[in-house]
Amino acid sequence: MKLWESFYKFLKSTKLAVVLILYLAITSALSTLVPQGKDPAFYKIKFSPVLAMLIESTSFHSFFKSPWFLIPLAVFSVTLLTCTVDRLARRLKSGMKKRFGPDIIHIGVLVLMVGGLIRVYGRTEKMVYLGEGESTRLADGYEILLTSFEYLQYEDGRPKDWYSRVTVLQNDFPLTTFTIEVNKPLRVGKQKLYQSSYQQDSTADLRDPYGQIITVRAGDYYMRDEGSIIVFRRVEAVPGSGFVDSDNRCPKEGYAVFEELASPTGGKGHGLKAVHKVAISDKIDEYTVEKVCTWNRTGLQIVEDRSVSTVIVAFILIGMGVSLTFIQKIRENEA
Amino acid sequence: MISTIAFCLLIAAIILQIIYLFRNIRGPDPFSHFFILAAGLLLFTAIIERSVKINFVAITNTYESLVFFSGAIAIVIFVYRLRNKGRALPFMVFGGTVTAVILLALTSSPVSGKEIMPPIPALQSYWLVLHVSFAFVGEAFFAFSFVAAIYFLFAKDEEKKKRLDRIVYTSIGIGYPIYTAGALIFGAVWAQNAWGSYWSWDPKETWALITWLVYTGYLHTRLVKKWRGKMTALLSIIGFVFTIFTFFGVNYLLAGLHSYG
Repeated sequence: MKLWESFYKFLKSTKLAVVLILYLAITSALSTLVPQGKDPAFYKIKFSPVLAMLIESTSFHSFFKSPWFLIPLAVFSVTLLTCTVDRLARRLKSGMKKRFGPDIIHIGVLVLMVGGLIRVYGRTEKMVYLGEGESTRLADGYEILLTSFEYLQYEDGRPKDWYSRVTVLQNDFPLTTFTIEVNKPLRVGKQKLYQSSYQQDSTADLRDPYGQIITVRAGDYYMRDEGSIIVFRRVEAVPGSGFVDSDNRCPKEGYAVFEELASPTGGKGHGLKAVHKVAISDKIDEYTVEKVCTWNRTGLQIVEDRSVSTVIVAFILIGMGVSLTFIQKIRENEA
Repeated sequence: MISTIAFCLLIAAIILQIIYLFRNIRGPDPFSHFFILAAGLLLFTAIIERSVKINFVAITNTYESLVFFSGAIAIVIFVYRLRNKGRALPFMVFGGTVTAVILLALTSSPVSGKEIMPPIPALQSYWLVLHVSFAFVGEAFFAFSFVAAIYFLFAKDEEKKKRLDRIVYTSIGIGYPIYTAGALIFGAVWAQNAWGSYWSWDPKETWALITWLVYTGYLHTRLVKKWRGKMTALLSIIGFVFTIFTFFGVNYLLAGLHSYG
């Protein structure tokens, strides 16, 4: 019984809570010095071999998922729970002033931790890139069809906005249309779609020596000779030259950009040997560039996170607790 | 231009305060807080002027944040001086004004970027406005507590020490809930809305949490453990050093989502 009592006393001690807070603060601060969640190769390049080994062996590269963080956090949550229950019980029993603000904050922090736990197991996310007219399947028979994508830029070239206009379908039946923007996500069933990024797609029409048109996409390649590979990378349009098509995808003047890489059979790996910018009507080897086209694909982040509602409750509790404490303190000072 | 006038007013306030401090006149000078108020209002006018130009609330980069932060500190000093009338501690007003001037002087640094630029898509959110403005108002109180804590460490008179300890506690008591709402809650809501993730352990988030933990530690040691004096003053100083590191250090030393401001 005595052992249990002293253990209970230890758990609810402010000293333990402060030591844990200090530990979590110091180790979290140290973790910001090491970029988190990168490949092992990254740390081998960035740090000395000893340090890289130390980072990997201690899981410091994913500190917030490591036992160094999670175990003290678990102990802290037990301490906080014990403190909260003990404090509440004492206040309710005795005739002490009913100052429940700090208790509500503590409960809020505990709920927040529960939210964090739910997030570990209840969150999924995936990234999809869609071109106009393309669609992707979601959970519960939903489907998203991209009807148009617009990328607006400021005059200095910085992004102004991305508009992804989508139609939501369920079992192939259109339900609604919506424009997804950054800060304006779309909820579809349990999932939410966020405007996250974009990708540029390019094609080039090449005429071969026999007069045949071959359409190549970014990443397509051919062997030039034993020493090199030619890879089609992207299209560079000449600004203001106009377009040959009604969708404004294929500029009248522009370049197909190819990279010449050392062939692996040459024994030197895939090193970059040269970059060739080939204008429309010009040739690369025996191929004539006939037409180049470029367009953007929207990057949508599809997120399902079951912890959000718990976290919102936690925020409301913390907000309420903080406000209540603040108001009570002001009243006490005025009295 | 408006910020420059505000800067001059703050310098004029400092000169006036120094004259009074050196002449050993008891109590604060009767005018400088009006200069400080005018400077604070001008700094907020500068924010409004920039906001009109970019058609959004202009607290989206380091320059604008510094102007807002400095303006908020100026208003906190004025309120302190007004509430305490002749009993206000002259060194508190002086220290607060110096802090506001230092922050404003940093706007001239090349790294703060004065250009008026409309925000990138992620920053076009009113949650961001709440996040930044509440965080800086909270931090303005932390700055005031920092001045009081420094003053506490050098003060000899016990009565004065008691008053300074009270100022540290009151400033943190007011700043803490505002900072909690702004830096942590509104920040998380904004991140959820913009990226679908309310917390990413980004260096700036982590340091904002560490700062919050330090002030949480301060409140617990003072209220539960009944600590007073040197230790709590030191905690308050550490808290403000972390506040400043979260604002500047993380931007320039550690890479992350918040590298714009």
